[in-house]
Amino acid sequence: MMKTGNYACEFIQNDCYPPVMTARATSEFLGMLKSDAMLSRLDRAAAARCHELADVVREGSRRLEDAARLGDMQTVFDEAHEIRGLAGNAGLAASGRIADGLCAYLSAMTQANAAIDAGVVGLHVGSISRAANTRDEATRLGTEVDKELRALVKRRLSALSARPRKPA
Amino acid sequence: MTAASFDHLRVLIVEDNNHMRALLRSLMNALGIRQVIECTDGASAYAELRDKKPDFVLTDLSMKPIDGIEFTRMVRTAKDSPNPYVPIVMVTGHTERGRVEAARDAGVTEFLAKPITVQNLLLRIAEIVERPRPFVRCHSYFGPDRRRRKDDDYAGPWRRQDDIANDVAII
Repeated sequence: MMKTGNYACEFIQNDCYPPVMTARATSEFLGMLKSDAMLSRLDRAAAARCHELADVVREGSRRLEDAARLGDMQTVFDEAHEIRGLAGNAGLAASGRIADGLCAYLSAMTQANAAIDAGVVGLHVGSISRAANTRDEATRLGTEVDKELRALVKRRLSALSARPRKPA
Repeated sequence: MTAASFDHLRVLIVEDNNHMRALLRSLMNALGIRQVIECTDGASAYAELRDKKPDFVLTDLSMKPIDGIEFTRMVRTAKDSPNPYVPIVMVTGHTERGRVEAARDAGVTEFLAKPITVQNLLLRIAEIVERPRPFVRCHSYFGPDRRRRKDDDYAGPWRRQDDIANDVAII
């Protein structure tokens, strides 16, 4: 083995800094965290926010449509990013997944300095809105639509990377 | 012991989206954690860290003017940081590899992708409580040990101070 460089690292073990709680409290806290009662209580707390978050996602999808219509791709990304973060907790999983796919497409095209296809964006935006307003959206069309849109983006990104690079 | 026994615990939530902040607050309350401090960006969160001394932090990534990455870096490395060892869980919809690596290299303790699930949130909190990691200080990083797995086949380079002291790093 060869020494490379002259890096020195110091390790500070966990008994050298304050813990989150005492050892006894940790044991009791973990027991509580792992109980079925705690899981149920947390599920109920999350479910209580579901309707409110669903309304927020639907409002976001309207702003998303407006931004797409104006060609404002930064706002499209920002709104899609908020939707992908919230939709799952709003019971709108398919909307969230499609929004995630849209964010991935926009990030990849921006990074590659390539032109964003308004048609691809439009397909995503329309699907997010329809999924957000459809009952039982994740188990019906929403999942299939997400799959097809991801396949479309994959084809577009493959075509992008297959383009000959300009000489330096 | 009941959930009410943990009302001495204090959590700092750093999140600019009102609804996500409300959701995280509800979940913390359901856990029995009543002292929930809320901020909308890294700058105000750093001030609250000094004043309120939370036991752990849940932070978003994208915020302005100071985002979660910069906030984490400040907590870990600023000379006036009130607690460079505080557990920080980054909760974000940004799951691109580059972002996850940036969060790791800023010194987050755990990473949780949105949309959050109750199970994953519990797992992350259990990790920071049950398995606090050693911290590493080197020329380019201060924060929790970033290694997640032990690799018996690792063949160097060897950089630890005690590797050098024990002459491990020599052919």
